[in-house]
Amino acid sequence: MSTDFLNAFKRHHADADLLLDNKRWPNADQLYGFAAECGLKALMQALGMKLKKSDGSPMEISHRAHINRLWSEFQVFAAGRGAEPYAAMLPVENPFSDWHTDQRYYRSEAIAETSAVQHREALGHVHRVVSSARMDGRL
Amino acid sequence: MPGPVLFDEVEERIRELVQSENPLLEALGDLVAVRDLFGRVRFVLEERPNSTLRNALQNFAKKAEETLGPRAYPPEQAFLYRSELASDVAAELGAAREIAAGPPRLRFLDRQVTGLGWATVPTQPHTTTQRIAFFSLKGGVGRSTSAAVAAWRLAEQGQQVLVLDLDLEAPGLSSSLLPTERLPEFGIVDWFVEDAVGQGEVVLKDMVASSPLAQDLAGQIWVAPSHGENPGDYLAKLGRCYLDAPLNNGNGHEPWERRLIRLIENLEEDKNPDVVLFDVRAGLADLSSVPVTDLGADVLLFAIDTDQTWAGYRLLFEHWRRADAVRALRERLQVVAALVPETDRVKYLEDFRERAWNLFRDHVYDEVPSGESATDGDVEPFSFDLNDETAPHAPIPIYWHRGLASLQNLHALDKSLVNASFGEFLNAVDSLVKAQNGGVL
Repeated sequence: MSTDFLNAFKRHHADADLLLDNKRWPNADQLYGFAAECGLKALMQALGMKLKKSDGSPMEISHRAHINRLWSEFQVFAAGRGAEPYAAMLPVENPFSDWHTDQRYYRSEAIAETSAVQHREALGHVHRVVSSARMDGRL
Repeated sequence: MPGPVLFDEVEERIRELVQSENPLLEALGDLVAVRDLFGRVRFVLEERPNSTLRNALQNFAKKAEETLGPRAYPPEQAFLYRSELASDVAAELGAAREIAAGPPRLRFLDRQVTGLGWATVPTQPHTTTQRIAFFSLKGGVGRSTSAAVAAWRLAEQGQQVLVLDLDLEAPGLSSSLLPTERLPEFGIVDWFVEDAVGQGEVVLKDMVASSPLAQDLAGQIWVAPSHGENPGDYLAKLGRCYLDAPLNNGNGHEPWERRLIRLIENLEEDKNPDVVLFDVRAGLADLSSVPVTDLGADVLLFAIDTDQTWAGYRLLFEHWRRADAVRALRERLQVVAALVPETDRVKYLEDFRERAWNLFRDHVYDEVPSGESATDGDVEPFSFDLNDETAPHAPIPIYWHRGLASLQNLHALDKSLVNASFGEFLNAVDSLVKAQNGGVL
């Protein structure tokens, strides 16, 4: 198993910023979504989420989700694991609800700059969760 | 082979380690050691090091692992970089205490699950309303009854008094101040669960009731009880009080301590009291830390003369001293000798005073070197003699009385009985309020 959610979070985050700085909105937008997913999954794993040995994906089907569904799954997961302070750092309303993996097949014009910029801001919340968890020694 | 490094030894070991590696680490300028929730230590650097520093840091991380054992991280995970942390999390590093001047300057930050309070002191009080916190280390010392009697006295003198029951785990202040049939619709726990979803104002107007204790008095007593007339699922609500909640605007969260302060401010705005009394949960619970340290309140420290009591206060005072909070708090502290026994009162209070003085001298009072005048320098030292009656350690007695021990209903209070037991205590409460109002009650 070579899954490393924290490492992947950092990579997607940095690359998304690079793409955004170069006005490559659609792929920046995609990577912000993947970065957010990896950041939350890194913490979920640290808090006890089990992974399959075969491919490193989450055991529970509800956790095998991209960020458009994972956001609320994370809030449910964090409750009762002493991780409420992390959940509380995220807006209840999912800012990635309009994000979808299928968008990688879209024409470039379909993903606007505003979408990428909003998702960068949304990733800021996840970055905060990850940073806090690192200072706390969870990650 | 050195033995395992225990929790309390971590700080000293890191200081030694950094000092021994000084020549190599000087170029860092600033280094923050973060002790995480599990008591392990990681170091935060400004940014990833250049190649010349990298080897020195690798060696340092290895030495840290050798020295701290399981309290260190593996060398490849030993460092965090400020530039890679979210900015508001990085800003929390500002709270780190300096433990070595350096270079490199070494600072230490504790990340705690709970107990973050107890040392956060407001730079200035949030309000001009007088606040008095009733605190005890153990329950059963008559703290809540004293709060009720104090409320009664202040109302008798025409004051508008608001009493908050912050002993949520042991609700009950209000039964002496508020008979069950007078309870408001909601309590403090209801506000917490409603505020968590942004609708605290729904219960705010119906969580305070007026106490019949003040009905023939010039003033008024408002009571905010822990639960309302129908407690509902009290435990389910209680379990959700200490919850950091998302902000309404969706950006970030509000720590529960800050939410509690907001509740208090809302209630003060609504009722506009002259004095607010807090009946605080006994012991070193997080909930108690807010009224004791965060509100600029005068703090009445209820104590009985037992080893356990003084040992407990010693823990608290040591924490304040370490966190550098003593100076900001000490002028607001006052010891109360609770349940002074009926016999041998003078001897009891003498012993009590001496033990209180020992505690304050060790942790709270400034040291005045013998031979020097107490007024040397710009600032007069904060220091009191054993027998100084104006000292915060000088016990204000509340005498145990058979007639009060079984008191169910304060309404039936016999005034002479109250004075016999609470006379000196009530005078002290009067002085506190008077001092706040520039000498006028």
